[in-house]
Amino acid sequence: MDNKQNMFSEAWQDFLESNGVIVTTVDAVYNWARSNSVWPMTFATSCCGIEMMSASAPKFDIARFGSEAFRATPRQSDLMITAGTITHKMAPAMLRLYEQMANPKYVIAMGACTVTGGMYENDSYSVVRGVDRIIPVDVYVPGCPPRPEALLDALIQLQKKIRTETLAERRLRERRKIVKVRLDEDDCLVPLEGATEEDFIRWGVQKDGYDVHAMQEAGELGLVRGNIKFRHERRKQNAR
Amino acid sequence: MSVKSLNTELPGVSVEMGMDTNDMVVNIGPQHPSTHGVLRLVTTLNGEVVKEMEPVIGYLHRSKEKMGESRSLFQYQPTIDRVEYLSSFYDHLVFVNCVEQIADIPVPKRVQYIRMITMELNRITSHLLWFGTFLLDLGASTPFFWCFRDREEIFTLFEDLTGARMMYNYYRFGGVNNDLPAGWLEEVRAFVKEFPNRLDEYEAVVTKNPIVMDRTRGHGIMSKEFCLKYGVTGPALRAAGHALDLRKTNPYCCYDEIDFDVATATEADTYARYKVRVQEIRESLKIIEQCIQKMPGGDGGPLAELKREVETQTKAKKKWKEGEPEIVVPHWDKDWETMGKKINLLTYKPPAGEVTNFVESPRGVLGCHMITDGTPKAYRIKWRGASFSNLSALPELMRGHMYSDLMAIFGSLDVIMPEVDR
Amino acid sequence: MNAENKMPDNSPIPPSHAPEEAVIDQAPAIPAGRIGQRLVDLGHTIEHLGNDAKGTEMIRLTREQALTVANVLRHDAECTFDMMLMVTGLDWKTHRESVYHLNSTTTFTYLIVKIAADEQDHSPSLMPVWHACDWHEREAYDLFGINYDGHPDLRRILMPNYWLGHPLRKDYVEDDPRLVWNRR
Repeated sequence: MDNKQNMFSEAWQDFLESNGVIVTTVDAVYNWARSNSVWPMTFATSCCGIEMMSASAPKFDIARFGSEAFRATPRQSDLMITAGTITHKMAPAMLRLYEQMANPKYVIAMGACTVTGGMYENDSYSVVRGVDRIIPVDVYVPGCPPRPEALLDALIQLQKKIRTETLAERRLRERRKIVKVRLDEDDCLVPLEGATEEDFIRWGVQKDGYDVHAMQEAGELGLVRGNIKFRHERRKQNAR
Repeated sequence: MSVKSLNTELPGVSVEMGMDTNDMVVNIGPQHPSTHGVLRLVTTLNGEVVKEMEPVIGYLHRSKEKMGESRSLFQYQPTIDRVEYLSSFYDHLVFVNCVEQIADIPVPKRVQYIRMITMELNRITSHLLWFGTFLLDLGASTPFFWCFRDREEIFTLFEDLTGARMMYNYYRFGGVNNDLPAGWLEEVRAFVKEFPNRLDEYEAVVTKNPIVMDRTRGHGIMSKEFCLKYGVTGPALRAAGHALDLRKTNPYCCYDEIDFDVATATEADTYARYKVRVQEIRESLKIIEQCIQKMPGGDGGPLAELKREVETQTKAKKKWKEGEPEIVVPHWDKDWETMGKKINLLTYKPPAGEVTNFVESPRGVLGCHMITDGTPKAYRIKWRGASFSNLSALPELMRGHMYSDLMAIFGSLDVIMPEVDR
Repeated sequence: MNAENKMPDNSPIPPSHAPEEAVIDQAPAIPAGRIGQRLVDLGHTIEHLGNDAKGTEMIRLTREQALTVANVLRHDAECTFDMMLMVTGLDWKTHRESVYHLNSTTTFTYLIVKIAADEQDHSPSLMPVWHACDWHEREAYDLFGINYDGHPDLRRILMPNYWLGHPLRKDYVEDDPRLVWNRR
């Protein structure tokens, strides 16, 4: 997962850097640029939206992480922070918004309602139990509502995830076709035939692509694990 | 203004009169930067003029009322913050008052005053958010950051008191969860002293601003008859000249002991609603100041010490024997309690009854109709959100206006969707 | 708020007969409140339900007299109830009921009016009297299935229009194969 597979040792790198030369890979530079300018879309449904607005407010200031521009249109944004409860009525609209986003795109599921259904998981008739039944999610943020600092932590995790993606994974992600559903005349999401019930209920609407176990085995998912470190952290670890 | 008059007023533009135009149906939402929540407006436009506007709601219908029937009252209470998340103290007040009235639970005076302070601070946060987002919709992004900075200060106060920034869950049946922390009243007093200066600063930039005045004066006129026709309450009705403020007309908590004015205006347009809300912030500051002065028991620190002293001396007095020195138990007023009655909330069963309660939330009249049947779960809990009725006035309000006036007019109604959809 | 204000009629187990058959002289004598007395003076026979736990007066109307009495409540000089605050739908298990919460913006008093629906869940719409009933009655129709006769545009407002059933009824079971998101 480490795409800084350069041939130079640490000592050489330090020497070169002190003379103004950086040796790196295309992946690293590209990902570094991308991860530092993740532009979210204003998709605030309910209470978590207020904490998202607080995160962009002066005290917590999401702009210092690069997310300065909150675009209202999905076509110009990289990140969809689903802040707020998703109901059955809203689900097709959210899916359409996700489809309108251009690749590479990421999703942060903010708040307990979008992670598992939250407090509505037990007895609500109209709430979707977790937004990952509809779209693939990269980072989950629990909380009701999560503090703005938790959202910033999620953004940092997402930045780590972006930084550790390779070009091959990115191509795979872009080629992934999302939906094997169709919208019938009542604007109701209907899965296509062929998928088994178990699959599309637990992991989303289609059997392929969002089958998290399969993706994990194939190494496609790029999950952020605890041993992924930034370069300066790795250096500190090696120095001990 | 009609399309015809618009065309003839523009110099140098010659348009063929009597052009045949088709009506265009434009869909706004449910995701849109300026809707305050998920609302879909299906608009029929003739050029730039709105002919029909139909709000489609229900995108946030989370079955809160059904949840009230499947959970016990105490289990339901943490979830009602989300009925109107910008003013969650009001949701709690109306819910807790319902149970207190059904079950005849006494409420100490200190609790009433604590509730009043928290509710008025909540009103300030709600109006500040409205101020920021209203001006953001109009295109001004700086007041948004100012308002959120001030909201953060109030959130710090709330966090010291209740532990949470937004969803407080602080009131209990007959009282509040915990007493005020030591020094909290002083912090509130400092905030109240300093905030009017900041509000003057914001008003200096916005209130006489020619762009704001141009966009808001004369638009979106909601006369009193119009408001009554649709059941519109809150600042919109007060901007039409009718001083219906439940804190004055049907006082609850201890509002009849506090001296404040009801903010009204007469023009009933968007600008008047803006001015009414800013004035309401100032009135809230007045109310908080008076509540701090009149707080039974004073600050939380000394009162907690006094309570401990009373407890130790009472215990010592029980063991007093003849010949020992006299034990004096300090005076403790019943008004200084934080809970009116000891209730085991886990197994609490209110008696059967029915009550409806209305309070004056920042958006209008917020109500709860509760029917209990002697079991721990309520039989029916119905919420009235002020925005539900306020939003139903939007179609007729927008008819004939230009499409670009929509943001100013709709923003001034201060509609938030969880109240509408519940 | 003493015990006399807790009226027996509002127990959740409804009486076995429909409410309009409860003849006034058979029921325990609940005294008429101020508005109830005014309506009786004007010649309408209504059922007085006492006060709720807060002290708000409650009356019950039959379906036939609903529109006329509502007009009286709105326009009469002594009961100027010009604002309709909300309409609560209720599901007693044998029948449905609508509860109208009225407010007078001149005398600042509240009034609660209950109208029971019949076996086919029909109830007169009070929209000609208070236009604010529009959306509230649509919501009661959506969630309870009470059909308001005379409502110009009765359709679902909160649930999506493909929804089956009326969710807030006590016997509601979600049984729609199209809804896959709720299964655990």
